[in-house]
Amino acid sequence: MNRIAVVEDNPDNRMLLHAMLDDVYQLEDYENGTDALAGLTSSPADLVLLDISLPGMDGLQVLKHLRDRATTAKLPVIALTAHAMTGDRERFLAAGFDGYVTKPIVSDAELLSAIEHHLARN
Amino acid sequence: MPLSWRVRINLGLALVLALLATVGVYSLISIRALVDTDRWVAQTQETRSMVRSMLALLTDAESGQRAYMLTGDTAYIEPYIRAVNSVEQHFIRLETLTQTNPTQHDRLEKVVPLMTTRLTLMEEAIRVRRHYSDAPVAQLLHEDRLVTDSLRSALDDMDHEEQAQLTPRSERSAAQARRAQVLVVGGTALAMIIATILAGMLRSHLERRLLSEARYRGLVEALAEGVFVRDTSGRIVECNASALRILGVSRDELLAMGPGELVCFREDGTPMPLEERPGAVANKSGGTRTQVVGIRRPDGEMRWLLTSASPMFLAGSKQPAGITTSFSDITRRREAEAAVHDQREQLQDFLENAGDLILIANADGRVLFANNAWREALDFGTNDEIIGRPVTDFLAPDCRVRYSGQLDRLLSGESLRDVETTFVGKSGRRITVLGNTTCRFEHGLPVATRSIFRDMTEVNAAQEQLMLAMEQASNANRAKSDFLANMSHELRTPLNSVIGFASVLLRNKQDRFATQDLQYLQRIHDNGRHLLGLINSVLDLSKVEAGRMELEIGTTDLGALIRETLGQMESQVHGRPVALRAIVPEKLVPLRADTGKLKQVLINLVANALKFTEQGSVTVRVSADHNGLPRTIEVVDTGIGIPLERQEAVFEAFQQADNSTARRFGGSGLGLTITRSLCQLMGYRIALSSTPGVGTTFSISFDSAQPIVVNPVEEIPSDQPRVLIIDDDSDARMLLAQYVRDLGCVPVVAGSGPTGLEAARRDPPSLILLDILMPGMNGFEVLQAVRNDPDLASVPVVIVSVIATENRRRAVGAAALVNKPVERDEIETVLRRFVAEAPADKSGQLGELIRRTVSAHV
Repeated sequence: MNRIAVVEDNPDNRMLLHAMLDDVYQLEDYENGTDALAGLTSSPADLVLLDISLPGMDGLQVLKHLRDRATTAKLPVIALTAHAMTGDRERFLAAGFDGYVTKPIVSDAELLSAIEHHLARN
Repeated sequence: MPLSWRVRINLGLALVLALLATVGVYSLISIRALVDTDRWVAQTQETRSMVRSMLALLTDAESGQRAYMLTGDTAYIEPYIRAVNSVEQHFIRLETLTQTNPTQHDRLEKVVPLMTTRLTLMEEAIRVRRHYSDAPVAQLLHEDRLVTDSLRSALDDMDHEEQAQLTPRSERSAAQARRAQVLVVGGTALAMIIATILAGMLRSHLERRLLSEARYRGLVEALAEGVFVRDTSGRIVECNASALRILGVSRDELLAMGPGELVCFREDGTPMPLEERPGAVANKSGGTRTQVVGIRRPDGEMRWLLTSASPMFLAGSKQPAGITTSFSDITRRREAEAAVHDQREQLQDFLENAGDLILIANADGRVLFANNAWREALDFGTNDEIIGRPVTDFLAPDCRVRYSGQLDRLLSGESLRDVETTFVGKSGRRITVLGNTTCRFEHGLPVATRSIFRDMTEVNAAQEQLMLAMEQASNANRAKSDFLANMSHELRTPLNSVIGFASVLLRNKQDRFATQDLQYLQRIHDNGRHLLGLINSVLDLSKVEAGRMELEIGTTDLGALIRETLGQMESQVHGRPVALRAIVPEKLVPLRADTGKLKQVLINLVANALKFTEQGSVTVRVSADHNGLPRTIEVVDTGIGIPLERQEAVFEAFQQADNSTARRFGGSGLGLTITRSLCQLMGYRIALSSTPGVGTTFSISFDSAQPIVVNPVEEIPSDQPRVLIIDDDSDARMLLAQYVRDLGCVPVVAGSGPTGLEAARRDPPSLILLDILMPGMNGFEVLQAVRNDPDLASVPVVIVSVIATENRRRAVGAAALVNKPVERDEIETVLRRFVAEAPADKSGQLGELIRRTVSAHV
């Protein structure tokens, strides 16, 4: 079972992801970027679902740290965000995210296909 | 010193006369002498003949006496008696003849007694003989012989004496005659020679005089100036052709005119009395008088003459022999001068009253002129406070330093453009101006620097205000964007839970719920999604209306776009008996458009049609003109239709034809609003026609002059000037386009700043009519882009807006300003001002007017 790191400060959203994905993946929750960066060092994941609006370090900064570390430089990171204005998608992909899924997640199929796509590619 | 011809002629004449007088006097003397001599010779001859006659008488008397004595015949006495009788007379005559010659007279005194004695002796003898017939004749005769011989000898002496006197006297007379001859001939010849020379001199002098006169006459006739000469009585006696031409009279008429018959006027138009006229003044003063005189010609024309009169003197005379008057026709010059004067005054007036600050200084930088605007700006009341003062007196200290450098540049022939300068007014107020200065040169020397300034104090303030306002607007816009982004984010986050959990339950946990509960779950999920759609639409609409939506113009294959769109939307038919189809002409040229947004419009319209069509068809139909240029896209459905009174409202936000339809058909109620906004952004017109129960047709038309619709192969050929209209309001565009067309120009319209700029760059227009309030790129930004584009910088831009003010116009550098609502006349005025190559106009002379007006401006 692939391990997915979820970096999300909103407990409802974490619960929703578990509801959607627990059957398929092993999820590791992090409530903020600092925890996530620490946790990913000790227990590596196959893919990261990274929220953008996080307390303290935001998603973009977390990504930058991940990309700066040799162990996580190639780790697939999908932005899972409510930033869904025109141009946001391009902005995040340009920042180095591998995928971009907007909240609200209209169907779990959309999320699953994105995750599968990036896992397969790796 | 050479003698004058006059003196020479006089001297010559005097010589001739003297010669002739000499000849005459000498001739007279000679003739007298000759007459004397002649008389004298005659007297001598007479004397001699008398003497000889006496001798003959004596001989006759002796012969007769002798014969009588011998014969006694008295017949012989007769000659004797005749002789004796004549002797007396002869003696009396000789007495007279010898009166002047004492010698002869003395001789005659001796002859007379001898003769008397002889005659007495003879008479005695005769008497003797008569009485004594035998008297001793021989003795008697012999006695007589002695007396006779003495007498003969005395008479011979007399004769010889006369003879001796006659010869030298004849010789003297002949010599005198010869001398007289020589003198008369020589003197006459000399006189003739001198006279001939004199005649030659006179003739050559006369010829010279004639030639000189002819030359003078030619000279005078050739003068463009009129000339006439008055005699002392004031009558005109001589004139040239120009005088006749200028005065408009014939020679005879002019010469017949009495003094004062020419009516003269002063320069102010009042009649000029006789004594004021130049001729009269010159005559009185004895000097030259020059003045302007007006005359009325016989043909009624008024002429102004610059007249100069001088008295004319004969050589050596102090009394004028006449007055010479010359005059040139200065009527034209006076008129021209008057016109120049008027023009100068007008110009002065313009300068004085111009709104701009005008300052003229000499080459030393001292003020020659400052106009009213300048004085007012610097609080100076009169020119006296300014004229002659150095310009630097009025400059702010920092500008004074620069001024000398600027002056040097000006004096070297450079023109200064857009130089900012700060003056300090009388009250110490600083006035910042922007201006151009040039230097005027005369004969290569700088004469004056001329500056035109615009008071930028207010403009700068207005510009700052404008910048501030734009900054504020920009900030507000940014705040709005941030707000929208935050709103979006904050709304999406809870929706994530609503939709997400509902979908998880619906998918994975269906078996746990009763059918009713599942339906509830489904409603939660659907309404969550509806809410999400609403949020998306509201954000889209906000972006369009906030002008944050930008067009990305590319080449669009309309047929392919429609087919692709319909393909994606087939799923929305949901198995209803609705045919989804496209009708596209085979020949269709590519369209320049924002493909993505056009597709969104199509999706919205098709989705809308599908939503309201239970059965039948939804058709997307493209119509094009004969060139394959797309004209309209129609979306035709056979749905429920829209009642007439609701047709306009469907485009309003959150309005559907019927409130109940929202419940029945779903949808945000924003789709058509967004569609219309997008169409307006792209410059398209959207309209609908509908019959309830039959169907609805939405139609998008590409304006005929739509710049986005271009034929890449063949441009619409036109030599008429093109006017680009940039306005987001399609009605305003159409109206402006109509006006522009009416005025003989080709309108090119664009619905937004970027499309307008693109159209302008593709083919720079003659003029741009620019709206300010436009979504996305506003008019000021468009203008900035136009000014920054080297190809477009020179294109005049006229602002057509409700919000523009003159200050803003100036600040942004637009050529002119037209306020909305637009009047046709205003557009005509700006076209006349700024469109250089206006063609022949539909309404007649306008094209020519435009050309003239424009060239006058240039």
